Amino acid sequence: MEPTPTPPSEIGSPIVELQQMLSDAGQDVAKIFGPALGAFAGPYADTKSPKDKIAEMERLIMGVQN
Amino acid sequence: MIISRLSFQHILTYYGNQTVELPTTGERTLTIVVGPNNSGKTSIIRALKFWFYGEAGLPRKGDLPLFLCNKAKAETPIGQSLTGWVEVAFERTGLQGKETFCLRRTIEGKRVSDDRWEVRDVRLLHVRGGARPTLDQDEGGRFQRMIESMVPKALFDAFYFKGEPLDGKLLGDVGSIRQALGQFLHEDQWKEAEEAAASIRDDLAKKLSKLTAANADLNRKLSEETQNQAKLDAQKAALQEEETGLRKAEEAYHQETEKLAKLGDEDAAREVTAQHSRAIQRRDSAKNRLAQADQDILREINQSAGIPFLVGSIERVKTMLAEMEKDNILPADITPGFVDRVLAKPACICGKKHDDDSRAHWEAYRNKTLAADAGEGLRKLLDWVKPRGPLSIQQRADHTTSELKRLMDLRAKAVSELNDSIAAVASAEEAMQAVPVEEIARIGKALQALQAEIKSKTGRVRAIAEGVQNTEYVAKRLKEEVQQLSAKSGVDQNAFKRLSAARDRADRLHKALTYCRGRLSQYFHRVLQASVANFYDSKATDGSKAHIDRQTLLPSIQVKGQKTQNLGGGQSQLLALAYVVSLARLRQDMHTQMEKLGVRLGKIDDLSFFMDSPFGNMEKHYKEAAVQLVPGSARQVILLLWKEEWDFARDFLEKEADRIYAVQFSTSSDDLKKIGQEARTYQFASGQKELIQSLSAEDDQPHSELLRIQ
Repeated sequence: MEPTPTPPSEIGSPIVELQQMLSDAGQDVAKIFGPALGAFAGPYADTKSPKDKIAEMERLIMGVQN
Repeated sequence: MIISRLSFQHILTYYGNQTVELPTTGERTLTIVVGPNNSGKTSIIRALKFWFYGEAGLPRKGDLPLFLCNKAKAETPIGQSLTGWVEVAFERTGLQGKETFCLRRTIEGKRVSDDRWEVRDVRLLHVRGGARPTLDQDEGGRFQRMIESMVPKALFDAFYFKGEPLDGKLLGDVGSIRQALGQFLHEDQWKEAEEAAASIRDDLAKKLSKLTAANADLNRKLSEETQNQAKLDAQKAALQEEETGLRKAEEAYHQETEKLAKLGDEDAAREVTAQHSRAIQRRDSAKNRLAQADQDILREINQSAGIPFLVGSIERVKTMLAEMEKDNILPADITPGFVDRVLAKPACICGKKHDDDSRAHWEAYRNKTLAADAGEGLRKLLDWVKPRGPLSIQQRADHTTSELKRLMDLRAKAVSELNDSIAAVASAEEAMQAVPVEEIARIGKALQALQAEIKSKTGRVRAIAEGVQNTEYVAKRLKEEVQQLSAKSGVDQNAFKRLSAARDRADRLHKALTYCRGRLSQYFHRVLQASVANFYDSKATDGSKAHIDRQTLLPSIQVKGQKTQNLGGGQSQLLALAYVVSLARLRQDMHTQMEKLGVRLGKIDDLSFFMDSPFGNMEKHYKEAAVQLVPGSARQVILLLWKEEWDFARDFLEKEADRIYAVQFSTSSDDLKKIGQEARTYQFASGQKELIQSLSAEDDQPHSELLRIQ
């Protein structure tokens, strides 16, 4: 069997640690973390203006409850 | 971005409409396009670059007219226009799952004279519908931004590359690639989100301050709270930095320990070194003792003055002396009983008979000879032949023999010891060669230094963490005081609470984003290093190693820990291949991992690889490794191969390929004559094909078309 570049998932992902970090950050932050980041790096982020992205994040921050 | 169809109309060497349908299903797909040199393989990549970036994707401004096919241009009357285009249908994963798009980049030129063309328009169109599609303008540049973000321009050459320049681009000093990597791995968007969260937090703090402007006490307390928060942020940042440093030191310690474990036991290495040192000491000591024994033997022989050789003569001398004594012909003074022996005989040797005076006479005679010391030499001779005594030859010979024997024994022991120790030195040296003693010693020192660093950093982390705890306690107290004061102040309690909670949330979101990005950056480095090294290091035959820079994430080749670029034979190209494959997989994996965090990262879930002549200029060993690496390396790989590469890799690649196309090139009969039959003929499982043809009689412009083979 020829060696191939090792798949990243076998190298030790930081996801468990990041999940713990999000849990420590609080439920409200855990809820908006994905959508808030998605406003900037999500599938349609490049179709939005910087102002729209910030407004979307602000709506998320103001909208979520503890 | 997975391409399902690629079409050209009057572009570069391609006349009319040419289409390549690419497989999109399955985890890994491989499409091969085979064609002669200068037939239009690289034109496919140039056309794609034009599709992605329009005029900005061209090497030189003013190259646009050259993008229109010469044959189609020759058929266009002066004053008329010609439109060429590149169209790409592709899939990407969006919010609603898999989405398909079809975009066409058109170029319209007008023939203003026999040989002059003016480009009138270049545009990107959204193609909708099947047989009679609707073409929409790219309003606001939305689609342009989308495709540019899918493949940042600086990384285009890494993923849609021509083999030879690839290694130079990736391994050279290309700062812009680092920036593009950030974009490719979403780092820059991540940072943008962090900055937005901080700016929202600060805006909310200002709004809060305005809301309570009328109340001095509350404002002062809010200001204190803000200052304390800034202090807490700084402490937490310092803590994070120290913790990162500590983790790095721990990671380095772990890595060095692993290296040590691979090399061998440190104690064993120390023992091998000590054995070597002891063997050398033994050898030197044996040499010294041998030299000393030789010197002593020489001295003893010199001092013996040949006495041991006289021992054989002693018996004869003793017999002779006994006979002389018996006959009383030895001097009277040297033998006791001389007078008695004379008187025991009836007469003297002169014939005179003994009388009463004879004894006195002979006694006087003896005393006289004694006084004359006439027998000195004979007396010495008698002493020499005695078995013992200070002058005894026998005794002295015995002493010399015994001493020489002792010295010879010492010498034999020294020789034996010398031989043993020489063998021990050789054996220890062999053992030292088997165990990389110097490297182990270096690691041992590094481990000691890292241990000290870990100890010191652990202490600092503890101290800073205590500070954070104290500041957090103060923050909690200030928050309660602010709440009490705000309740007393008469400000809108609902608005105050809402703003205060939102500011706090924005702050925590900012911190979570910052922390997450830092961790991911470390993860990228770790993954790339392990992944690239896993392939490259096992294939490099010269002991060189792949190295990924922690800051830039760019690859390099190291020999004995030193970066080098002076490697021929295909190492750098192999490294570049392993790197781009690892990079694409890392990104794909990152999407999967992020989904677990509830984050849907946009753009593409995978990339197409267009590799043009990737196996050129490589030694056979590296070429074989590269041929085996490429299939199955990504969801969509498109290999563009010329004849020599196809002949080399066909046995392996043809059975791996999902689809095979050939570029058939038509050229003038004069040019065709210069090309041998063998060079024109390509072998396929379905039979052989001539890929260079003669132009038809009414045609004078070389051009290409794409044929589906498999």
